[in-house]
Amino acid sequence: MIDTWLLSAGILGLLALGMLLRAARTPSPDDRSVAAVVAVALASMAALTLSIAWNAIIVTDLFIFLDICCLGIAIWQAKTRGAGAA
Amino acid sequence: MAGKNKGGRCRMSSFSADVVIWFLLAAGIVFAGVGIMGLLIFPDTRSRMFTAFRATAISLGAVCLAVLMYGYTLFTESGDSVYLGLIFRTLFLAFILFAGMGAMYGIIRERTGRGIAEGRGRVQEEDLKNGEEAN
Repeated sequence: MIDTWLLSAGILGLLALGMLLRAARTPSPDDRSVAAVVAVALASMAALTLSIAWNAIIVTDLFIFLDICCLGIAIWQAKTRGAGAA
Repeated sequence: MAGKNKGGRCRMSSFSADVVIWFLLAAGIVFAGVGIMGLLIFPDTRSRMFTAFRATAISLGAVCLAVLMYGYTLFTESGDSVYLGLIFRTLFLAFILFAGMGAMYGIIRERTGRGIAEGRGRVQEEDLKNGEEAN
């Protein structure tokens, strides 16, 4: 029987990958920021479900740390870009 | 519902909890797909951002609720502190993601709103100029 948590993690991971590709290819900086933040959120959800499927809670800990770093960088970049534009 | 304890044995939550967890996970996946579709099909940054952030926030809420339900059910059944840790980590992760998404939402909404206001200002100036020329 297919593990529900693993299946969810796989689908969410694929969606996060698609969003990451969108973030890499889009020309608009605002769209890139939106896509990057959504990709981080989807990847975190995938990691959360994966940590249950694998019974490895360290995956969640790792992604909490990565989330803080990635979101911090994304917000800092969006703010500095906004200040530059103004 | 899958999930293994330290010995590698599968732990099952109750059937009713399983049904709710399946439903929440399915809702989370569907709304994540809606968020991506919104980012792909809408014409301007503002509407893309609204759809992507709101659908992803609903998806995040559904998946976190599923994990919380799983952790709470197994914690009440087994009393194992691992599940309590899972609940706290999930709450912390959800807080970080919601705060980050909210901050980014505010920044981009302010910037796109400023662009729209500047565009409206330019249109009004052009209308006034055209009106004066006509008079």
